[in-house]
Amino acid sequence: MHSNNFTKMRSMSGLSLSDKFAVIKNNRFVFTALPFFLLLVVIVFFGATTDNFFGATVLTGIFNQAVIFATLAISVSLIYTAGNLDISIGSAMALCSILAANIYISTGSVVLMIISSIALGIVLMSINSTLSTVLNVKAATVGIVMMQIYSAIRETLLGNDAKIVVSYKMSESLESGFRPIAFILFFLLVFIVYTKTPVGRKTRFYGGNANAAIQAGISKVSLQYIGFIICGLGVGLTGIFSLIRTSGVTITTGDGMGMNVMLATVLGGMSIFGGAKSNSYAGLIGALTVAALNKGLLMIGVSAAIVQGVRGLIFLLIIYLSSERQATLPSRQQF
Amino acid sequence: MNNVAAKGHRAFYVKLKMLLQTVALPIVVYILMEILARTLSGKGVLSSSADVKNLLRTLILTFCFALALNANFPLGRMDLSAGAQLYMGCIIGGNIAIQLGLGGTGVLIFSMIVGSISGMVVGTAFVTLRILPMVLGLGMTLIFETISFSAFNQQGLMLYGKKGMDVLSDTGYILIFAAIMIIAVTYFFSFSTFGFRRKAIQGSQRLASDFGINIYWNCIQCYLIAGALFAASGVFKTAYQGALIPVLGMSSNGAVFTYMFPMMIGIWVGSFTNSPVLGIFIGSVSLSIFRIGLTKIGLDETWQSLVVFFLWLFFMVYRFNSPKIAYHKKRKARIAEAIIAEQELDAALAGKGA
Amino acid sequence: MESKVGAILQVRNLSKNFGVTHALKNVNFDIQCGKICGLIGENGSGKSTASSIIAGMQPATSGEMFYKDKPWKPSSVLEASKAGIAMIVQEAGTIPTVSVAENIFIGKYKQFRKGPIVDKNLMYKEAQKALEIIGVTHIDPTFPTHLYDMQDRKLIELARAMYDDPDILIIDETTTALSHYGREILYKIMHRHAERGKAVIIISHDLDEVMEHCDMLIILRDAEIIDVLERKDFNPDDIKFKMIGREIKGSYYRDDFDGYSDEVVLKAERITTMKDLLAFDLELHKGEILGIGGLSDCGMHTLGRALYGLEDIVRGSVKLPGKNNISITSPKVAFNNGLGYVSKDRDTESLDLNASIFANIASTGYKINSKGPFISAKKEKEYVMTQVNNLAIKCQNVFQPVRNLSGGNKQKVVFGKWTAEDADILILDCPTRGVDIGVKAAMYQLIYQMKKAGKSIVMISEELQELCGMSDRLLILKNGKVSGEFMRTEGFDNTKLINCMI
Repeated sequence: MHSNNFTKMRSMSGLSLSDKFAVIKNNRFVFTALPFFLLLVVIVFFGATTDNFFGATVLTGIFNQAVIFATLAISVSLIYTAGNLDISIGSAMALCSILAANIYISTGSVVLMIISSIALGIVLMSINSTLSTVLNVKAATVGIVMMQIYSAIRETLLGNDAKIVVSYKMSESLESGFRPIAFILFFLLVFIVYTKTPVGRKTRFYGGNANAAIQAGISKVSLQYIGFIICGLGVGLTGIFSLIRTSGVTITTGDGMGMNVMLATVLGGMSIFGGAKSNSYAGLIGALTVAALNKGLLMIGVSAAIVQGVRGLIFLLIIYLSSERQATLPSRQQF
Repeated sequence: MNNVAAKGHRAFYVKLKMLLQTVALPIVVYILMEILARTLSGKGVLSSSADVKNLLRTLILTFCFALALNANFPLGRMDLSAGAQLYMGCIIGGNIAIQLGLGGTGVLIFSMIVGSISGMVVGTAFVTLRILPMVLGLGMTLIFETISFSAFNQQGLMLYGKKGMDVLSDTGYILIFAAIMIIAVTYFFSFSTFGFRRKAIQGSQRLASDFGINIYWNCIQCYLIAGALFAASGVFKTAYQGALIPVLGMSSNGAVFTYMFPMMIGIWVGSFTNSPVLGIFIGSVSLSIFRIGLTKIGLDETWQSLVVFFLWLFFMVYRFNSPKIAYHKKRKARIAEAIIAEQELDAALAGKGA
Repeated sequence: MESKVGAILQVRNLSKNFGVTHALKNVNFDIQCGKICGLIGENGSGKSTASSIIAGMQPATSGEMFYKDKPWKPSSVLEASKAGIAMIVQEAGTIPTVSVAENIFIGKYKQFRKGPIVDKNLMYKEAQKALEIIGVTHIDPTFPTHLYDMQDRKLIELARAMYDDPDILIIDETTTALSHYGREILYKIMHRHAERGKAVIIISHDLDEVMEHCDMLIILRDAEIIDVLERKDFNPDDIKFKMIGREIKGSYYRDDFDGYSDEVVLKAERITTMKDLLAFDLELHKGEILGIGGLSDCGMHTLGRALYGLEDIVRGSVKLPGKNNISITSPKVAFNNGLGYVSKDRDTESLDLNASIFANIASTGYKINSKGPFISAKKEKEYVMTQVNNLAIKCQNVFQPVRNLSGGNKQKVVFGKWTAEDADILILDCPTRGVDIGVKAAMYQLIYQMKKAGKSIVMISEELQELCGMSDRLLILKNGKVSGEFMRTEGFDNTKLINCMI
């Protein structure tokens, strides 16, 4: 009883106005709507301040920019939801691109190219999952180590040329038809798995309280494999998206991607540490917001470097507004 | 009396054992690499003074960075903006020092000052906003990269060919600086009131704050020390490479992950003697020797990285599974106990039956 | 005597609200120098709230306090301890990772500074002294605290509190963590402190303890003071009546002697766990409420976990005779075979606090509510709403996060998970911990209904009363072994039970 009161006191310390704010913030509709609202604000703002924000080229540009981060963020959503992090997805994606490029160059088959990329994505993510479930290394640690291993492999494979180029024509042909369809199908798949099957709910409950989930008969291992395999599927797909976007792979393909996906996810209204308030689409909303913001700021003449800083400031502001301020300092033992 | 003497003796042996465990790692690594290098390429690991210089240069930048990570890491704060703080410190502090016409030491000091200010900014933002440290790190990286990228005409920091920068690659200078860092940081973490408070906070934030420790100020201090060390690492790195080219797109935080390995080895080695700072030094020495050894064997940098990261993976697998081995031993002992207890039960039942 | 020692602390019209719940309602009392004052009452009666306000852990909602004749409104524990009010709390108050000495002098490292360096040896010496003050010599102040057990850690806290020689010493339900030895030390210190003219407040629900050691008693019930008694007026029946406020009648617990079937549904065969249990046997019958009691470290909590597959059973097995003798090797096996488990650590183990009531209750029904690979929203809604309505869980809506509910309502959600799933065997570890009396009564009703519906229940509890009130059969554990077995049909004798425990 005593400790109960104690914790209550802590969470209710700042009463009245801030309390009311908290109540509003915790309302599930407000909470769900906030990231959409933010995206809307960005769009309306730039729609009003720039000439041609709603032009087809600008919107396609935003979609093109967002699609890679969005796909990756959607793929990694189940992993985040379970309370795991994996920042190796960017480098893993680069490896998929390299394989796909080589397969295409040697066989000329687009189908083989796509299949190989997806297959490799699933294999790589399964390796990550095995390391954490079978060998007990914490998933976040696995991600950090594997990111560097995958990057080193990428550099070794690309060798002195530091890049592989594929035909621009093939890329262009896939961009308009295959890409949007594949993206939508993949999103629907994750969305359905997430909201309509036990997998999503179990993962969310597990991410919220692993002990309680285990006591409700939920098995960590199978859940985690499902999450990582779905992620692998997305990583493979993104490998193709990335390949056709630049018609090739370079030595920096995938760099910083893991971080940017985290950023997009958080901006989309979800904690990267999972749990009850997780969803499958936060990354998509976040990636669209980032892309729209980038495009808009560039259009009103802000330099690329400054755009990044502005993004950082907005990011911190949103996080601050949407997270609950603790009495003590937040901390999290990573390893 | 006898008892006391025996106890003293034992304490001495325990200490000796701990010391041996601590220094064993770099020695083992050195011997191993020496053998490998000699058999594979016919040359020793440290066959010339240039090798020693290279070793020390890698060592000092690794050591400073890993030490800085350790300021916050054990308290559950993984600072992803570390790399960006490094860029802030070096590019702003270093350029100011150069414009003032200062030499290597000036660059080092100014960078460390700006680095510590950057660290303090992150720390202050952290205690004010109370966002999870990793998430805050992402945001701060974006902002710091913008600043360090835009500053000084986007030129970064150029040390190559500048007057007075030679000291930064001088063997003696590096050794003295390393010694100063070991002493200073050991003092901060293990002997100052700040260090004692930090340890208490590490154990329990709530209790520490209930008993009057200012957890917020202590946290800012941690970030401040870390910032200075990140910048120091950056200066030595820049001196080694000649220049520090500014970056965008969060590529600055790659360093965080690279140097996490020596920090982890360090914490592990340091746990034998209860001094993480020494542990991290030993860890950095071992890793630097390992790297130089790999160069001597003839591996290029990518392959080196691959080997090092696989080693890290094995290390992590070992670290996460070693408690299990100990547990299995205990479990066996417990089973033996159970068997005896069961026999007693059976005997008692038989007795009752009769 | 009375005239010489005045009230060192006066509490006037003190109230504390948590939202709509009153934890303390207009409470008035005085604490006298030279006396040991007991605050006694049931869980949730407000005794801990009162003491924590005095010790600066939380502010009062309204009312005043006067300490040494001056207004007293501490904003932190630190302020209170500086002013001479020290409190030993129920939960862990030491940091396991640092040395004993660093725990004793936490927050006061500055006083050991020699120049810029903190002198550890000086601190160790002072810590040794602090421990000697309370008569403890077996604890080495240089050792890390995690090497010591719960009891020794409590003694370290006591040493920390007594080192400052506080004017008011508050001890909050600490004795449950202490063995006979530890209690003796504590009682000695309390009496010595009072004899030296200082004030002692002890918070407890152990009637015998306070009757033996207190000079006066303040009895709280439902956030209000019911009576203040001087030692000469102590009468156990009277106090008991005042604490509970009603005769314990049949309606509170169960009043039948229904018995249970002979069919064994759960069987532990010589199970050995890493800690506590050694070749332990147990049988649970269909329709039985099996009570398990003992001191908190007697192994009963480990037993509960072991039965549900949460402990590593190194030898022996837990079997389900009704289900092809399948052995429970993991919580998943347990769950899939109709077992349910209510953990004693509700907030950390049984609930996802940030998740909604809906999500928490639905967590046991993913399989039941599935149609093919998909979850049926309709079925799931029904699954949850039935429980929310039947259990009368008080909430704005089912999407409210569990974290904001009261202890009783949280526990209802936990029960709801398992009644919804229709578990056949329930293992309840301290099911009424931190739950107010009204909800308690409802829980007892529910448990009884489950029994009547043919469910089998293992009820582990630290409260002997509820075990006596509810069990068909009662096992008392001591050091991981059954030290006594009692049957409802023969009636439970408190003295006999307690003798088995200690």
